[in-house]
Amino acid sequence: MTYAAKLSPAATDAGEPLGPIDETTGLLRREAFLGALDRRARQEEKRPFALLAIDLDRFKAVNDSLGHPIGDALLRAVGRRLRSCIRAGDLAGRLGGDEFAILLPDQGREEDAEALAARLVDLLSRPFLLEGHSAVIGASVGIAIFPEDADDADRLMRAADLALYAAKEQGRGLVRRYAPEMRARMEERRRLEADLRAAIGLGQFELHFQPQVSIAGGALTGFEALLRWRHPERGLVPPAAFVPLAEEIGLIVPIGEWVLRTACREATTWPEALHVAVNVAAPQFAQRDLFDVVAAALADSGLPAHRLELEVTETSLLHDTTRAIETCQRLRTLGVRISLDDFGTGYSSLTQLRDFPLDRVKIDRSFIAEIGTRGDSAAIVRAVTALGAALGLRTTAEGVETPEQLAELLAYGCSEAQGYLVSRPVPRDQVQEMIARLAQGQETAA
Amino acid sequence: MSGPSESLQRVIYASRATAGGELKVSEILETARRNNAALGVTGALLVSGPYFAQVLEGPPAAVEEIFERIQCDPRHERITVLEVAHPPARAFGAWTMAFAEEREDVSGPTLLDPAAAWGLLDRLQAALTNTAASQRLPG
Ligand SMILES: Cc1cc2nc3c(=O)[nH]c(=O)nc-3n(C[C@H](O)[C@H](O)[C@H](O)COP(=O)(O)O)c2cc1C
Repeated sequence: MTYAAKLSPAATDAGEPLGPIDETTGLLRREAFLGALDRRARQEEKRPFALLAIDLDRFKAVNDSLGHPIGDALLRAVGRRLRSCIRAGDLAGRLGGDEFAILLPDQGREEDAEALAARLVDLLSRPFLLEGHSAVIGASVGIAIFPEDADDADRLMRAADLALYAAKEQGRGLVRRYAPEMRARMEERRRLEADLRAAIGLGQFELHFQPQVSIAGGALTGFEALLRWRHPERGLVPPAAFVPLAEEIGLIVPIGEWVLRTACREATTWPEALHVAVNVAAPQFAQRDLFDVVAAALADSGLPAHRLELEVTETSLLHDTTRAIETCQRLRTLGVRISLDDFGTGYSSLTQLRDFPLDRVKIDRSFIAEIGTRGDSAAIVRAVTALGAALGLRTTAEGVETPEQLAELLAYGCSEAQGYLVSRPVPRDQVQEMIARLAQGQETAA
Repeated sequence: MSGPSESLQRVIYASRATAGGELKVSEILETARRNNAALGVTGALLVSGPYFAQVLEGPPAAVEEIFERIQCDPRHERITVLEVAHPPARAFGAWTMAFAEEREDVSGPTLLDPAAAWGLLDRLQAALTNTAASQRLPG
C-alpha cells in the first residue's frame, strides 16, 4: 500500500495528483513534497500549519556496517513507521538519503507538532529487525510554523532545517522549534567557515610556543607549538573556537600539516638540545600518509627527527588502533618521539600505556590543578608518574601554576612541567628571549 | 538465504511497560495468539513486575513482521534486543505464546541487560513447566 492510497480525497488540493512516490519508503519524493508545501503556503488565507524536518541519527553507520540491502530495508521500515504516525491529510516526504519531512496542512499549533515529533523520535529510536539483524538508530526533528516562522515555502523549509540542525547539535534524539537566533548563529558559522578556509592562504595562522622544563633542574627542554588564528576583525581566535569546526569540515588536515612544517622550521633556529612538540589531531592520524607528511616536514626543514615530538590524544589512537600503532612505530624508527596528550581525560586505559609505542605521557591539567585540594587527584598523578617510570616513559605535567604544585610533582618523580608558572605560550619573536631568560634562571639557581 | 536453520529465526527482547500506561497482559496474549498462529510464529512471554522478556520464533519474515508490530506498541518502551538467532529447532513449538510470570525481585530490571539473554531461554522453559502449564494456549 502506498501512502497516496491512504489519503482521503478531501486532503489533496482539489484532487490534484500528489506526484511521484519514493519506491523505497513509500513517501512522497522530494519535488512532490516541496510542491505540495509550496501550494499550501500560497493558499489565500494565511491559516497556520506546521512543517517538520527529520533526520535519522546513525543511519550511515548501519548502512556502512550491515550493507546497502539492509540499509534499504531499514529505510522501508522507517517509511512505514513515519506513515503510521501521521493522520489522513498529512503529508510525509523523503527529501534525501536519510532526510524526511512531514507537512501538517491543518495543524498550526506548536504543541501538536511537538507531540507528533516526540512520538516520531520515540518510534524511530526503537529497534528494527531486518533480515536477521537488529539495528538501532534514532531521529532528530526541527519544527517550523507558518506564517510565524516564515511565510513562503522555501524559507519555511530552511527554518525547519535550521531547527533540525540545532536539535542535532544539541545532542541528537531531540526536537527543536525554530527560533530567529538560529538563523543568526548559522550565518555566523558560515562566515567563520569561509574565513577559516581562507586563513591558511592569507597567512593568518601563527604558532605560539610554551616552554617545557625539567622539574628537577629547571632546565628548558623544549617548547610545545600551539596554533593561534589572528583574524583582522575577530582578533586572536582561541583554538576552542575554530579547531572543532576545522575538524568537522576536514580543514584540520592541511592546517595540521602547516603547523608541523612551521614548527619544524622554527625549531631549527633554537639550540640543538631543545625539542618541539606538535599536536596531531585524530583526522590527521586517520590519513594514510601521516608518516610521509612528517618525514617531508623533517627533510624540508632539516630538523633532526629526535627533536620532534608528536603529541597524540587517546581518541586518535583508539579510532583505528592497529594502524595507529603501526604509524607510531614507523615514526619512532625515524627517531621521532611520541607523547600521549591529556592523559586522564579520555579512556585512559593503562594497557594503552603498555601497548602503544610511546616516549612520554602528559598528565592532564585538571589533575594538576587539584593536586593540593583533592587527595584522589594527587594519588592519580603519583600513580601515573610511577607507572610511567616503570614503563620507561617520561611524564610531563600540564597546566602547572603554583610552586606548591611543582614541589609535589618533584616529590612524585614527574620529569617535566609546562604551565603558567614557567610561562604562558609566547609568539615566535619572543622565543629567543625566553630561551635566554630560562638559561639565566638556571645560572642563578645553580 | 539457504540451509535449513536459516528458515527458522528466533528473536529475544526485553522491555518495560510504559509508565502511567494501562496494559492488560491478557489482552496482549489474546492478540498474540490470534496473530502468531496465523503466521506460524510461536514463543513465550515472561512478565516480571513491569518488565517483559519475549521470545518469538518462526519463519524469518513472519517473525520480523510480528516484531515490527510489537516495536510500535506504545504500551511498552525501552525495548532492547537481546538475541537474534537461527536455531535448528523451535524451543516453544507447542505454544503460540506461552506465558510465565516471575516476581519482580527475581529478575526485574536485569532483564534489560543484554547479558540476560544468556540463560533466559532455559529460565523461561523452567518457569513454564512450573507455573504456566495451565496457561498453555491452544495453538
Ligand atoms: C510485551 C508485548 C508483547 C506482545 N506480543 C505480541 C505477539 O507476540 N504477537 C502479536 O501479534 N502482538 C503482540 N503484542 C501486541 C502488538 O504490539 C500489537 O498490539 C498487535 O500485534 C496488534 O495486532 P492487531 O492489529 O491484530 O490488534 C505484544 C505487545 C506487548 C506490549
